[in-house]
Amino acid sequence: MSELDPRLEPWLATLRKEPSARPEARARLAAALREEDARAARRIPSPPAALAAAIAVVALTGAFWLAFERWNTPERAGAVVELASAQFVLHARDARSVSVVGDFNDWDPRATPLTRTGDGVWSAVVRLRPGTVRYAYLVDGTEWRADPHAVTSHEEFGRPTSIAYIVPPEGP
Amino acid sequence: MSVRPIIGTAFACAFALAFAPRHALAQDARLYKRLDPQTAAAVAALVDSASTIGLPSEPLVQKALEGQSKGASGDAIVRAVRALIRDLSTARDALGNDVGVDALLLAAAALDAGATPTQLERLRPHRSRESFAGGLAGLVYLLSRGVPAEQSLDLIAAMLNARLSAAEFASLQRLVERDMMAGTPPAEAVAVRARALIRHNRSGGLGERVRP
Repeated sequence: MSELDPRLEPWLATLRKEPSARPEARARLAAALREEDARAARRIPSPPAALAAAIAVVALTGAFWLAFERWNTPERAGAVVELASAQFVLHARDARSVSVVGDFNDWDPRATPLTRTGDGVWSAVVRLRPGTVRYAYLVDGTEWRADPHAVTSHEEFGRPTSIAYIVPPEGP
Repeated sequence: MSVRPIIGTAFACAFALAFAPRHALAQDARLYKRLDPQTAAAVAALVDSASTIGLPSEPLVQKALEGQSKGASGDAIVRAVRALIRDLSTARDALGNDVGVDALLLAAAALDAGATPTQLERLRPHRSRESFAGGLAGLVYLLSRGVPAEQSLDLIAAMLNARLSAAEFASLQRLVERDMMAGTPPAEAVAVRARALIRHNRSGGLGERVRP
């Protein structure tokens, strides 16, 4: 601690003495200080409130991106994706249900059922992005079949998978 | 209890969510919805590591979903995803970093069908052609029909060199199938039809659109 300036020594006693003030002024000062303390306490949230706010921030950010992801399709983003119609056909005379399952429907057996169009012929027309498609037919929910008309078929996970290449539409 | 760590953690999480790859978030959701948590976590880790080396993640997710749909075990799914990463990586090394996802997938299928990485490299000079993926689809078809890899590569390289369209590559398959049904051996049918398509293309003919 630095030493006191010798020139202030005569005033030291006065400086250390509690300032005199009227009781009303002291009361007003005390009230003002209490009010300021209360305001500061209101500005700092309680831990449960802070936790709730934190969860809300994270949830809202996540929800925003998921919603954006669903909304922001390549078509909407400006990428020109011309879809091509692909017809899937399978001859399965005794089948009760047939579906086509593949990369284009996240391999969901319920997503793309085929309809019986004739004498044991099942078909569906699907709009697909041009490019490589991997798929298989699922007959009666249990029997996996390759597409006899596909470019190639092979076994994946012990069951057939066919590969087709959807030709991109040619420009004008 | 201090509120500052809570608020700091919340903003860190929000920041991570805001800047995380959105496709990765969506893919993870599909994996965790369809696979058991252990398999989903293992596949998600493989997908992440594949993404960091620039491999496409969607085919890997689809491979895992295919396994789930076909009733494969978690181990089998993880093995299959790992094998696909290896094939995609080999295909990319053979063809170059700038080939598209379709071409990579078809090249991986060609490797699976019997082509070697060295043989695939012969197609590398053609990778910027619009019909490159169509050519690779033609290659996969030829290999699957038992045409020797060397002959298949020669024909596909010649067709790419002649600037055949993807539709013409597709028509090759259809024509060869017709010839095979009439009794012509695949290798012979392919050779005749490929030469005819190249000649037709040089004389200014247009390919036709075909569907699978």
